[in-house]
Amino acid sequence: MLKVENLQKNYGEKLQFEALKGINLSVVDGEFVGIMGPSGSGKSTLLNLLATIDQPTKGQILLNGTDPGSLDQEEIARFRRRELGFVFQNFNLMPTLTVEENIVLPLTLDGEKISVMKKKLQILAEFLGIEPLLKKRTAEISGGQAQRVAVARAMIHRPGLMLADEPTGNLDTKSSKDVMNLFKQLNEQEATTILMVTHDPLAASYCKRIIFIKDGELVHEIRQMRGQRDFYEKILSELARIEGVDNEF
Amino acid sequence: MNFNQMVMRNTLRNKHLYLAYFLSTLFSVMVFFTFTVFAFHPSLTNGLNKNVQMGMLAAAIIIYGFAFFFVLYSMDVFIQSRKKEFGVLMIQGMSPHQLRKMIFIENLVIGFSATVAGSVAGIGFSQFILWFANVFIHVKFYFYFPVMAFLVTMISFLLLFLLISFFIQFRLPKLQLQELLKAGELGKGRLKLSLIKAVLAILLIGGGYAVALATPGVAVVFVMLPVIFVVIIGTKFLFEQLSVSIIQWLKGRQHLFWKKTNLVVFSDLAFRMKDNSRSFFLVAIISTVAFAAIGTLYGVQNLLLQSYESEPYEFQVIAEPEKLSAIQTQINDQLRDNHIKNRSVMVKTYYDNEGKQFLKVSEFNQLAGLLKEGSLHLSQGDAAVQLENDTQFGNAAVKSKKVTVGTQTYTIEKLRTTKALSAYTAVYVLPDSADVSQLTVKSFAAWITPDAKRAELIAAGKKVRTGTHSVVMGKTLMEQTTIDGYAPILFVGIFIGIVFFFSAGSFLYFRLYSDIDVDVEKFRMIYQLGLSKKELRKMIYQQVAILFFTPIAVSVIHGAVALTAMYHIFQMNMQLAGWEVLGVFVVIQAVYYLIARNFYFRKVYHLIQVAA
Ligand SMILES: Nc1ncnc2c1ncn2[C@@H]1O[C@H](COP(=O)(O)OP(=O)(O)O)[C@@H](O)[C@H]1O
Ligand SMILES: [Mg+2]
Repeated sequence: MLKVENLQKNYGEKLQFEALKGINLSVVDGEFVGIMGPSGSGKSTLLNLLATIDQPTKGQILLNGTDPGSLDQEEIARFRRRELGFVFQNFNLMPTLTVEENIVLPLTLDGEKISVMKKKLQILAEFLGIEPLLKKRTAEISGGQAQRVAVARAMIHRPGLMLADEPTGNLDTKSSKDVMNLFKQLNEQEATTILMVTHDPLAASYCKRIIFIKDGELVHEIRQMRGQRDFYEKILSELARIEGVDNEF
Repeated sequence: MNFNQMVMRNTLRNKHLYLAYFLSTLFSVMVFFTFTVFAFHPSLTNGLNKNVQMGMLAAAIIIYGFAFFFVLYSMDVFIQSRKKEFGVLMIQGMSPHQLRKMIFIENLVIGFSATVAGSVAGIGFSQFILWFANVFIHVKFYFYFPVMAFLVTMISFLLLFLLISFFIQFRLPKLQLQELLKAGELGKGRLKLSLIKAVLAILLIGGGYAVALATPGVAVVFVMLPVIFVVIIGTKFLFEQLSVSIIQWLKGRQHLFWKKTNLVVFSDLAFRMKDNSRSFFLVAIISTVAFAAIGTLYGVQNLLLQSYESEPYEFQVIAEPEKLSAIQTQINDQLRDNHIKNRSVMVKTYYDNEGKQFLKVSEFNQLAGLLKEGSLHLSQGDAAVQLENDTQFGNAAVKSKKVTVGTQTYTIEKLRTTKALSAYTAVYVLPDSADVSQLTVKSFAAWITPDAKRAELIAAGKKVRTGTHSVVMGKTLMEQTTIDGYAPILFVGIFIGIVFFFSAGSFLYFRLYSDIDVDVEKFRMIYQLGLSKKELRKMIYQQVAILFFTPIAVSVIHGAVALTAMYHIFQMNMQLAGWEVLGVFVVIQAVYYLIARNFYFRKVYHLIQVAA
């Protein structure tokens, strides 16, 4: 599904800063992978490279056998609206459009038939429990609701890969749990491959595998074996070890 | 929702963002339309003067070019302020091709509605210009229904929007998604200080001013181009560096910077000034050009009219005594037919072979009485007085000590300044007893019409001119003939000037509006920290004032220097007309500011409330 080889990213012109120092990673179909690490370790950088938001300095990304770096702008756009789905910490919804218009946006851009859009929207809204919100404007809904709308938008076109950068970063605990349950459902019932950056151990405990990044390098990885609660404990101790501080206080 | 619906909804629901762009587009259309209304005006096109028509055409092209850049620039500002939105759309898979298509559709919608609305507004605006032209410069055009102007405006602007939609592709933001998504966040990096540019700004502007003001008379024409060039460069540096200098200066003064709301108002001001430096520069230069154009035209017209103003009589005639009475009857009849109250005097004047002119003292006093000038007394039988006019052009006549008439020599005891007779040649007042039998006699008659209306005088003047076969020209008629002759060029000049004046304000307001999101963000943060509505209003007014009047102040100073130099060409100091032009400009901008700050405050306050 996804294969990353020796991925490097430098920022700056004269004084270069190595944000990623050669990442190797592969993700198979249907996985739910978390990316964790201290602030500034390069998590978002990695995700942005996978999302074609930014271009790598060196190295290769293969998504279903395609290297996005080899595509021209038009092809990248098509690739994004067919193969990828994004969820951001700050939602990035279009304030001018209603909730339902935001959700069907990727289909609209792909020139999908209206009847097909309506059908997909109907099914999805029911699945996510956001039917009452559909006609509202984005300024009229709460953060948790907005993130669920963003998730809906990210999955309406059945992307092969869903990317999320701190999706629960702006949410309270209750909303965080709702959104993470959505991700889990999506992964288990729809077999969507998900890659999620987070620093929230609770959110991370929903993943099946977690990779840890420090100073632009992949340092460790753990897998969920014996249930979510046990995984949560493991994440906490791993974080404490990597960040070198007691995570509780 | 298909693609076109998406674009339409995005446009219609984003009113506040599009409104500024729409209005500035509408404004350009309105200006162009108004001008074409006059360019195709029957009273201009029916005239035989080909040169005038060429001039109008040239002016129309200038205005069109101006509109083009105005719209292009507005579009550019508009696009740059929407980076974040583009980022969000592109991450959802909008391709560059679709982005261009979206902007094209938007442009078409806005362009088309602005063209229609602008033409309608133009009908109103042209009435305003008509009124203005009539009241202030006595140029009269009548109203007609401008079909041709509609057609020309429609075609020109649809073409313009097609062109701009094409050009704007090259101005789309560099499609680095990462930056697009981060756009609009507060804090924009650091400003670089260029000491060289700061010093150059002062040197170039100061040097330009010094040369412009110190150059005597007609030589101004020769230094004009280099001075303009140097001052323009200096102005550019001034605006680019001013922002940086302000922040440096403020940082050193915590008691000022950290006081109350100043911290917030000035926090991003330097960056705003830097961002705005291109707009400021444009506004300052455009307004200065407008000053120079209007000031010069208006000044020249005033000079011409002044020479009529100094003429005291409405009608006057000099003729052989036997021919005079017929003319006198003509004029009196016309004045009576038009019910114009008048007083008149007829005197005899005498000429010798050398071209000297003489009057007897009692007859001079009749003329002086008519004009309410004091009467003249000669102290002795052999005393005379030489007449002199009070004009700024100086007196040509030679001043002499004595004058001889026939065999008698008179001593000139003084000079008398008067309007009663034009004294460009030598004119003397003699005692009544003087022997004038050797001199050629002519009769001089003059009429004054203290309370008459302009239109009546013009009507009577025309009749008199026909009746006397152009021997007599009424003063008001002559004045109006001059005005009519200059009308088209004066009108075009003043029109373009007014347009530039209004554009200056629109430019600034538009620039202000395109940054409203940043302001809402900034003011919301501090509003939530606890700030009264009153304080918020004060802060916003302050900020708008600074952004408005920075370029205005610079252009007024530029304009004052330019006009002073222009008057030097005519050997004069800065005249009232020049100050009038500058004053009108400042008043227009002040009114603009008062309206703009209110609108802006209400908008920001509303958006803060909605999102809070
Ligand atoms: N656009 C950029 N320009 C320069 N440096 C950047 C940029 N984006 C990120 N960085 C730097 O790269 C490093 C990794 O950033 P990021 O991937 O955002 O970290 P995080 O793991 O917290 O998401 C940081 O040190 C950050 O300062
Ligand atoms: Mg991050």
